[in-house]
Amino acid sequence: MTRRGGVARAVAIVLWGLLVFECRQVRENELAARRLFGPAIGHEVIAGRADDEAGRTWLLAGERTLISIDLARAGVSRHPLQVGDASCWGLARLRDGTLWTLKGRSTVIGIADSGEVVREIPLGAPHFGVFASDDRLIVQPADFQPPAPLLFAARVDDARRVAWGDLRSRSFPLARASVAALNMLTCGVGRHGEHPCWFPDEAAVSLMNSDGRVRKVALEGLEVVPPEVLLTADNPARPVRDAYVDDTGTIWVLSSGRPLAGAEDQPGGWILARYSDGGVRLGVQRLKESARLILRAGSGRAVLLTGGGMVAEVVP
Amino acid sequence: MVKKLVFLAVILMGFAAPRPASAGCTTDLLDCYGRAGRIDSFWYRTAAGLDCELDYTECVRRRVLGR
Repeated sequence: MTRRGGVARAVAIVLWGLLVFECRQVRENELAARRLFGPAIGHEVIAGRADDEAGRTWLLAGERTLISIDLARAGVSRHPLQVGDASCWGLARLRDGTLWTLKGRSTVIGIADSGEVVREIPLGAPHFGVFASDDRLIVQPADFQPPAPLLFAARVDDARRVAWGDLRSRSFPLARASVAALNMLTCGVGRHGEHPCWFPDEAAVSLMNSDGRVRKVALEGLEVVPPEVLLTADNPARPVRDAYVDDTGTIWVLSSGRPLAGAEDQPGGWILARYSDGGVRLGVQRLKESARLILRAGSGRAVLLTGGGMVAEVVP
Repeated sequence: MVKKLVFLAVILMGFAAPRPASAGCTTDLLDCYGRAGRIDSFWYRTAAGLDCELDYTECVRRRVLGR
């Protein structure tokens, strides 16, 4: 054998070894979901989520449809929002049970379970999102000049808004619009006194208590892409697509990851990760089917909304 | 043989990389800036530019915040 042929053979063996190692590792960590019922949703973008005391999850789908998923009764209902051609973003539920969303850029509306608009509150300026904390609406103004307070709180019957909590917008060496986009916040469900919120570019959650104070928890082992890639890719990898803190404080995270070879092209993330309250990694597993939301988690299992729109259970 | 294997590895890595947006939010923003830039009035031009940025953030919001 010539020296060139020997090198080629060695490279081929190394590549083959890497391929075998990768395949075995993936197979060992694959997590299959057991379908419970559905479909609950099509391929519409989920623009907001709020849970109620009765155990139902409310979703704002396609920016104009209210969907409720009742896990106990295995039921789904859909109601179009009575907002004409306007688009809505975010879904917040106050302590009194009322649901709120951001209509267009500058109006918060109260909506009934049937999708009917029951209240309109003009905000007077463009906003990116709406959240809730007890009896306060928390809004995120469209801010193009960081660093600045990120969130403001208001009561429904009081027009005054005050800076709320510790979160501040972050600076980037990018154009104004890109910086604003990277500072848009998303929040998930918290059952342990803190709500997980996150920025789209970070592998971290800010756990926020009812006063808006936050502690940041880094989530190791999740894929992060540079902000420029995140903003320009067709289907960017997002370190945190959804997060859920269960009643023991375990942080469940859905991350984009990468689909299995030959998997159906569905929206959602392929990695389900768990972290302790302090951020210690408890497990990172690849899903056999993509998932869009963590509907419930706890006692070692999670109920997910899959990329195909089904409600399904996984036991990591 | 070595060259072929290296070439194959590079091609495979290319498939794993994120695809660039073909006509996405950034392209729309540039088009919008172009239209705003043709407005004569300073104030209307500035307002139109801000509108472009808000449109852009809404477009990106769907893509990187939507679940």
